[in-house]
Amino acid sequence: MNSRNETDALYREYILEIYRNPKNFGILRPNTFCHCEKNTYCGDSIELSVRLNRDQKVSAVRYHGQGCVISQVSASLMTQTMKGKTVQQILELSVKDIETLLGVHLSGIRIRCGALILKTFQHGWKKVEKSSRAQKYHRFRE
Amino acid sequence: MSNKFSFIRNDFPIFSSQNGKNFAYLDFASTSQTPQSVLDAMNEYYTSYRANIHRGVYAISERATQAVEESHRVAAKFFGVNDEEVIFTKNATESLNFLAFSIGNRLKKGDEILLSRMEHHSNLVPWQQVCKRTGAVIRFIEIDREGNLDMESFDILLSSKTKIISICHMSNVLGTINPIAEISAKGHDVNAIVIADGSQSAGHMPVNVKSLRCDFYVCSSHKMYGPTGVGALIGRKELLEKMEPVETGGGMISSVTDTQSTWNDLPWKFEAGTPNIAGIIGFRASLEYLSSVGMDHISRHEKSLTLTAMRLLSSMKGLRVFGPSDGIKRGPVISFSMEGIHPHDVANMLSQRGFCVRAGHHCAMPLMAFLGQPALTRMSFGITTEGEEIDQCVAALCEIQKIFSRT
Repeated sequence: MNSRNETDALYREYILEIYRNPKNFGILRPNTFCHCEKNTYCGDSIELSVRLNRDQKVSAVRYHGQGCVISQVSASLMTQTMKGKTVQQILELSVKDIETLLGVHLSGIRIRCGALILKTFQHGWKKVEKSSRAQKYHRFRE
Repeated sequence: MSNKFSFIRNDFPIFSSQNGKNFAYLDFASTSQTPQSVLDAMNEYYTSYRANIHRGVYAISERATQAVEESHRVAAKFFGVNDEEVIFTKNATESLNFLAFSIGNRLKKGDEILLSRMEHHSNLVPWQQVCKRTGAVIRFIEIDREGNLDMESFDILLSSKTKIISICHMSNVLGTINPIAEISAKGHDVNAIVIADGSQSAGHMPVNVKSLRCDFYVCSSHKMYGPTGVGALIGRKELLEKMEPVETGGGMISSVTDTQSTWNDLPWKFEAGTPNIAGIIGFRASLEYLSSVGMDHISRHEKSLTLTAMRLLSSMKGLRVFGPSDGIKRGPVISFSMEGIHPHDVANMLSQRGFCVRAGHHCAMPLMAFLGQPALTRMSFGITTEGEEIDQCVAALCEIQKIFSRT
């Protein structure tokens, strides 16, 4: 479990500023995929919309949601990180990368909050792979 | 506050095991804590007379049998019913599932089940499954802005189609205490079966099931200072005798041939297999502990804490308390929201300051949707809660507000 100092570090001004004024907030249309995930334990939700170019790199991304500081700030910071990365590179990201962005160690159930944005991307991409129209989306150009 | 309660914490070993750190447990609605007498009772079973019940004729088996039978008697006396009207289950959730199978499966298409909008998932989901199996429908009794049951809506919904009414005695989110006796009387006028979910009330206020007039009452040991893994399904004898058992096998039979079986007497008909013997003995010890403190005293103690908390929380700007505004009329459960701060963050920061509260949907997603809240923070009190803990928790909430208002 996080110590009090670590917890207070999470709620420092820089993080709270992002929580109040998140980057990449909204819904992207058109998009390659749009997927919503919820953390049923505590009520966090993230709806992620992603546009990929023909090289399967993220050319644009938005997220919409509500929830705790960890889930929402992770989403804001991670969507910045996603831009320009390939799907495979994003699928290889982990909670450690979230911790690096937040500047704090996550433990216990807070890991679920931090990882929600990654889970949303993973499940959203799985839907695309399973879709019979996957090839059509892969050829979508900006 | 009674002097008795200043010594109560000494009975609970967890409070002296925190290495000097601040530890204010304010999550009794989720689970309670364990007094030494309960631990001793369970330990004595395992170290002195562990044996199965109703099977051996040797001394420790007889002692174990007597201990479990005495547990039924103690529970029956505690709840004001007859010995054979207490069935030990795993918890209140299992008790409700038993009722859903045994009584709910008799329903026909078009029959109605009345629930309130403040029910815990355990008193909602089993009935949803009954409706899928039988074609019955659930109708919801409305709640007013304060979280009180809207009895006018109940009167309108009640009809000859109503077969089952299942209502929480006390809400685990709002703290609302529902008028079970009035609901039971009106429900019986239309020959409906009335079930009260006592998960939050038992252990916090005196409960006499006969006075409540309901047909069934369920509760969980772990919310009443007993061990986890034990609950009670209390029911009127004449109804239990007509019900088919849900779990079958050893212990609940009278005779078995190749092709058929007959059932044992109450309560054993509904207690199949080897029960949680140590847990049942621990539950009995917790009921004896509660009786020694006195349920009236406990209720007054927690009422005083609730009034203090309501006064302090209601005076904070940017904080909204849910449930009845009159602290006298509600139980020791207070859920609240803080403007601009997610409940999970509130609970996280309180946790780092030594305060154990709950944040989330509290197993009441439909109620959260009704209230328009994705989640709430909840503090709930018990026998070991002290006024000072509430004062300090509210001070911590003020500090949290300041941190979030820095930007």
